[in-house]
Amino acid sequence: MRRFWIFTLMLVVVVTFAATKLVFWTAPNPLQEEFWKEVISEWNRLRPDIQIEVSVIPAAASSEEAILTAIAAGTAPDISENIFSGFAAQLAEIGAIYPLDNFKEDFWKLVETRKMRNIVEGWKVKGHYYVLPIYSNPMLFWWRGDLLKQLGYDRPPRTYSEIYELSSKFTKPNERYVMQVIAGRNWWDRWFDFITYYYAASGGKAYIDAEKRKAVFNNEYGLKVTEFIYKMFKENHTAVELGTNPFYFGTILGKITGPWEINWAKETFPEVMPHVWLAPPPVPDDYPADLPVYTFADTKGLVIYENCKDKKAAFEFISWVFSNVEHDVLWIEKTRMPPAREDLVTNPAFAKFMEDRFFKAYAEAVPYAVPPALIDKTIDVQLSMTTHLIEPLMHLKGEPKDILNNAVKEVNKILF
Amino acid sequence: MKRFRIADLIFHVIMVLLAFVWIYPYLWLFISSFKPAKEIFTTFIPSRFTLEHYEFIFFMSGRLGRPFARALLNSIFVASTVTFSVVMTSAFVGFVLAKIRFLLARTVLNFILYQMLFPGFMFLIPLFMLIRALGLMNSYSALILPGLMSSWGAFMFAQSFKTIPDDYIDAAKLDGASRFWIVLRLMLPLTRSTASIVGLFTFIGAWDNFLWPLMVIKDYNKMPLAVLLATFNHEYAGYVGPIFAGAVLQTIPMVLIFLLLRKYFLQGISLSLR
Amino acid sequence: MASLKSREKRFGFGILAAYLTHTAIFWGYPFVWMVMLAFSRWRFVGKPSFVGLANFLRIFQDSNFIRVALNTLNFLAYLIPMLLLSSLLFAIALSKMRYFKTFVVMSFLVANVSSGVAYSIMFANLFAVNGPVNRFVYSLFGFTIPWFNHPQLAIFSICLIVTWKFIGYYGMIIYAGLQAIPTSVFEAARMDGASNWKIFWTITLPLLNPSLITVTVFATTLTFGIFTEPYMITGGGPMMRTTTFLIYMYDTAFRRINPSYATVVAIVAAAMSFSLVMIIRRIFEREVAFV
Repeated sequence: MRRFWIFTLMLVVVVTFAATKLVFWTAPNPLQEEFWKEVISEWNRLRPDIQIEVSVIPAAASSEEAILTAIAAGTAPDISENIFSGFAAQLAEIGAIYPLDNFKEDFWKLVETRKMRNIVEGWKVKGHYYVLPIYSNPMLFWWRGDLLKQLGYDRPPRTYSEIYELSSKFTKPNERYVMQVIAGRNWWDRWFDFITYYYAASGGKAYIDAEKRKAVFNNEYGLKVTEFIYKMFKENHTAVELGTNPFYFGTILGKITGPWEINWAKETFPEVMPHVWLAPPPVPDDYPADLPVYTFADTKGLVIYENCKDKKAAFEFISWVFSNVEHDVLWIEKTRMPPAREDLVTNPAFAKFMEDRFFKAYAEAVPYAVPPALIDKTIDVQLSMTTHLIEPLMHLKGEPKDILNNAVKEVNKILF
Repeated sequence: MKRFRIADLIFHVIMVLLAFVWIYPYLWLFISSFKPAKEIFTTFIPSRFTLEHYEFIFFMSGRLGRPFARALLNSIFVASTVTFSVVMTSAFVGFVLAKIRFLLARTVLNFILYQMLFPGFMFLIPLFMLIRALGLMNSYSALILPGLMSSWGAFMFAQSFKTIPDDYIDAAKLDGASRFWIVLRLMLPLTRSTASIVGLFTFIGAWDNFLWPLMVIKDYNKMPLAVLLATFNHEYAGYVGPIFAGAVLQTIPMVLIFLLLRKYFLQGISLSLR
Repeated sequence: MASLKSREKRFGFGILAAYLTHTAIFWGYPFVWMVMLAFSRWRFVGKPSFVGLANFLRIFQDSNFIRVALNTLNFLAYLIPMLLLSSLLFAIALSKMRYFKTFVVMSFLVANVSSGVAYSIMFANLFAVNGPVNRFVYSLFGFTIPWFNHPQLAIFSICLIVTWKFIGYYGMIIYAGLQAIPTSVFEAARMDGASNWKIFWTITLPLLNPSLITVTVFATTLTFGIFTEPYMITGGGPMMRTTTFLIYMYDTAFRRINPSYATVVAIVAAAMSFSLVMIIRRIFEREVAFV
């Protein structure tokens, strides 16, 4: 018996000293943080030899900036999530992340188990798979059904003209507007306005030709979207500033958002949520009514950094998390974001979430949700789109067509 | 004594009103941090005062991985260490520069004048490289070491020590006083306003420093309050109450130390003219 | 006595050696690195490769850099007159005050000890579309002002809050200059029958030259170092108008991972700031003597 205790003691000592300590950075989103803390504490109980330390990406402006600064400082974590495809391409370019396909069959086994054979193809950078996609959020419009009903509507507006018409009945400048058109001034907000509208108008066509490194959105679709945004500001259907939470306070009738808002909104504005109607983004008037409307997919994944002390251990952890379907169930419970799996609608494990009409709407939009262009200079490109496309439109500096052509020229300068 | 005129009265009323306009933002921030979340943007005098935002900052935020209480202590620790060190070292360097006549002292004084031509922001990135090379990223050392000494402080002390007659020092020397004693017990008390100015500005500079810790600290436990507040403001933009409470915490020490040293502050402003 | 002298020197050497060591590490070493980075291409990893003047030449083709330089001029165009005029007025008003003087001085000076992050948060909310200032404006005029959301207005608003912060400090500098003028000068002028207005233009203002120059120089260097306010409030937008040199340097180094070019941006910004200060001194500085 004594021997046993000594042995145990020694084992504990060895394990504590030999334990690999890995640092994991989660997205700066409280709901995702909660999920990871729960899963990681379970893992740490099961595996005293590989301890994971979880903390949130210390972002004062954006996750990408925080991660890049940390890489520059040599204080990057071992693993982090919240990586979009373009950022992964940039990280791969500077050699900061480790290709997961280096784990060979272990990686492919995980891909099969989590049913993402096709999904990972969209994340291929220079022939390698650096990212394990976690979720894919289609962007949908939320409309205030209660207010629309008062105005005599029984469905949300579908086309640009319908929005102008609705606006004429509702908008009262400086008090209330029909919808939020521009998502914000950060570079990532372009995903949620111009790029989303462009995907909707064009039936999911690319706005940047990643192969030829050329912006192609100065076509008929881009022009229609540009004119729409311009007209919305010019005719005062919307405004530059809308205040905090304008949607819930009835300042606007509609806005675009992702599923991450569902749980938060249900808690914070329980009186509004039952009356919210979900719809795809608005389309040009000539877009066929019987065709599905495409939208943008906000999709993020997880990477292992090149400086990770024990990449094998890191991958073991990742495999453990993502080969268990229950973890994806917990993920949906916490975040309401559709996991990046191909069996979302068919797998019985997720059936219970289909009763939530919000989650269902998002899950059903997944097939029509297109990820962003896979280019390594996404941030610069979208900063340029902000400066040369969105902001001139907001402040009515010039004609839509000229603004669009100029924006494409500026973006091409960056891509070239 | 002039007659008190109506115009004079109006003028004084306007100035006092202006003074209130100037402190209004502070008052609004301060009162708002005690308002229930819903009333922050709607009323100036709330229906009730609440400590919930401060409770959140001190007790809840740690569980969210945003240790505000710790960040406050970090800031206090870093700012006071740097301030203490700068005042002490500057006094000694200033003493040598002003009172010991030899070639090196003159050269250093000239060098300091030359050095002041280079704005600090030029060195941020190379200094970042240095801290990285020394392996000091994510450590208090990264915040403290570069600021342990200050050329500006040494210069300020040298300027004011020059005005003290050498007789004082000679008299002390005849009494057998050591040079450390002379600097600490004789010179420093005589130049209290310089010491306060150097201390006040160093403290404010260290407390308010944002860009540098933003670059070198990525660990929530080591963050000074300014950086933690900025990250929190970014991630939890909806939590206006706690953000305001954090902003109040960030402001209070600076205002306190200013109010304590205000007399010297006013004296010191005329120094910056010379 | 000779041994005392040499002991004193030894003490001096010791103290200065400590000072010089610190300076060599935290000023000299970065200085060398700065020069090396400026002439090389490097992305935080690997060895820097020498590229000659390429980084400096890039400045001229970089439309963003030109935008940032114009922004800085734009900031200066607001900030210098605003700060100079308001702190001059403040100083003159103060010299005429007899009651509540301390209270007024303290109220204006306490603004100066606000923390960058905290006061940016404070003003962002104060000037928000649903904040108290816009509520007030709306109740009076029926519209709101997009303080931080309109390209030109955003620059102005940032200058406004910087003025709020510095007026007390700069005002006190001018006030000190005002106090230094002997009252006999004014009395003599008044005896000659000069009007108040004339005294101000021909006596007060010229005699205040040193303090006014000090304030102008302070304000100029301050403008080149603006970072926290736009970083916290506008993120450099709208239309890049509030992107300052420091924001651009930070972005270039850490978002575009190009520390060598970022260093060049910093060097050129510093050179511009230095030349501007020199020009101001050359043109406006006058020798002043109280006879």
